[in-house]
Amino acid sequence: MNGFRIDYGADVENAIGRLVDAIDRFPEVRSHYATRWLAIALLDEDPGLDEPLGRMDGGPELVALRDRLLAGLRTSLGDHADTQIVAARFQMANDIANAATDRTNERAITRTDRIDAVLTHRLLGIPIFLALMWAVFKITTDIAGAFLDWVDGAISGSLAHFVSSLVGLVGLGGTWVESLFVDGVVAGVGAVLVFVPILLALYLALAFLEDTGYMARAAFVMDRMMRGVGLPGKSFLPMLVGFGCTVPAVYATRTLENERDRILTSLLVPFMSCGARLPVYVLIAAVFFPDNAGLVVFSMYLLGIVMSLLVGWLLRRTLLPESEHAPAIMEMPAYRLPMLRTIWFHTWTRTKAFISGAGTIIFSTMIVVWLLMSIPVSGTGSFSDTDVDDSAFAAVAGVVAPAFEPAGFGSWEATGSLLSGFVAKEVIVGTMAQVFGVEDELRGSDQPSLGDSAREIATGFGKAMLGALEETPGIIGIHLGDGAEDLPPSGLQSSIRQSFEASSGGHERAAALAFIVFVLLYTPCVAAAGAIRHEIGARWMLFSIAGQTAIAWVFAVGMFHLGKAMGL
Amino acid sequence: MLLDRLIDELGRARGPLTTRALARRVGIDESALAGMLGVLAAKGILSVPSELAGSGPAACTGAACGKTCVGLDRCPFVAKTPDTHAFVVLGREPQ
Repeated sequence: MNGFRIDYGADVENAIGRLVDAIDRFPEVRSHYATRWLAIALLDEDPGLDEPLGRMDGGPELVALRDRLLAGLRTSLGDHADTQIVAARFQMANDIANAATDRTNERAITRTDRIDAVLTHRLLGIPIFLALMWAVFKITTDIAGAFLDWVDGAISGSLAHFVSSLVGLVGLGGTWVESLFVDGVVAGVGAVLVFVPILLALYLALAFLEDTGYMARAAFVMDRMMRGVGLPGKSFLPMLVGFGCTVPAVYATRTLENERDRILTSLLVPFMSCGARLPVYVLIAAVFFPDNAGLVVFSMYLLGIVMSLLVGWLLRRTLLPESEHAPAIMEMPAYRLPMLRTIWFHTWTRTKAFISGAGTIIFSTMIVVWLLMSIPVSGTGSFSDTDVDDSAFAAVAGVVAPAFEPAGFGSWEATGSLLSGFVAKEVIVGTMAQVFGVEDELRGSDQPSLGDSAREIATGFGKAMLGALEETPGIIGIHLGDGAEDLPPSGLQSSIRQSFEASSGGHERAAALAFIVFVLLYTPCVAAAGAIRHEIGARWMLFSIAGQTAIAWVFAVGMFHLGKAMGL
Repeated sequence: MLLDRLIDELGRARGPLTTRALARRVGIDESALAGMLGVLAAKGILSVPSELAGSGPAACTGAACGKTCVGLDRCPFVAKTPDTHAFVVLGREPQ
């Protein structure tokens, strides 16, 4: 393009001219670069130039001259000096684009704009976000919940019988080895794996929202809300991660520049309800609130968000005063129809990680719990043949249990589950399956044949599918069926209900709510505590553990008494 | 100048902005704005959230994922918020 030249303004053009004159005096430099281009690149502090110029005759002199000229420009142009060159380029590019582009057919308001006007609306944005989250948990608990009994039947029925038979075949039936495999591994790990359909549904729904482009809007909407209470808006991105798992969420706080914001967000992230807590909510909701399980689970997620805002607000006004936050600029992707392959990839990788967890840390913890429950510390039992009330586990949990009496769940069974839940939240349901001794009824029943087991699994799946289809219209308030086909509570569910009834003086539903509030608010797991120590130090980790436990206890007690007052 | 208008708009903003809305306010194409924001970040006028650097597979060791931890950049639990970047003005006053 002949005669094409950008005018950078008098001051910069003067500096360019002086550099061009200087470059002309050094033939080696001149032979490698176009003079005006080099002068502009030097003033623009092109990072790739200093090193090659340093090797050429006259290069260091040119760099020194550039530094002097830039100092002069900063005096005359102020803050503009650093952007003058690039600003002129952008201006020129914009002028050319405007002159060369016909925008008459371009729609000023796109479909994405119209959707965004509603979804990111100042007033509607948050209610819409909450409504979508409610739908996610309704799908998770009602539709996927139909598959729980099927998986439960397959694991605690067919699989347990199979393992029991296998142990019997090698001549170890009735020994501690059978107890280890059936009562420890199958009952404990199996109780966690029962919730795979729930997690699968949750991850599926979240992946759907992510792939449509909505989650970026959720971050945008929450950014506004968090800023409203003095929190860095960008904290919501790690918090979104916290819905999946607290550990990567704590590490994701690295995206925050300010150290105080990083500390604050690391302390708040554990309040977000991670996927591992979901099995506990679902189990307790199924036992005590079977008709409103979705609402109970949703309330826990909402309470987590509210608590994080409340604690954040409090910390801002005490230990971690506010630092100035400039507005965030977020690039919103266009809405699109989600791709099945992408959704399945995210869903499966997350579910797989949950299953892997069941095979590693949960497996190990279940064995430790079984071991503690097999060691008698009172009574007349022997190893692996003792009443659980006389076990080491009951003795240890019994020491802590009185602390939870004001919250209505001061039994050693509930307390022991919470203690083991410090390792990982999924372990709570595994521990409950072990301590409530549901395996005894299973061991006493007749061993079905392999064919019977396969038939049972197949018909169970059919029933689950039918149940899921019946529940689907329920999301929009249409209920099919009269509920007469509801299965009776399982042995585990009955045992949990009886235990809470006994410890709460007949206010078992209030105690159940207090229990899940405690599960929501106390330290998510030992790995999360380790991540906090790694990111912000041991002192803050201890503060987090102590603070969360205290908050969890206070709110659990409050919840129990509120529930009692409401007649629960 | 275009860039000054952009910096002024950033300074005036009292809440989060989408690049689409910002581009409209400044009167340029959204793709051009992305380039300008990148340049402002390189100049230190805006900051881009740091990448999750140094978060290799060891970062989550001890978590429930155990040995299956693939690091933050590929962690399945890290919610995917497609093509979302956030920039923060580092304190340049609007002109």
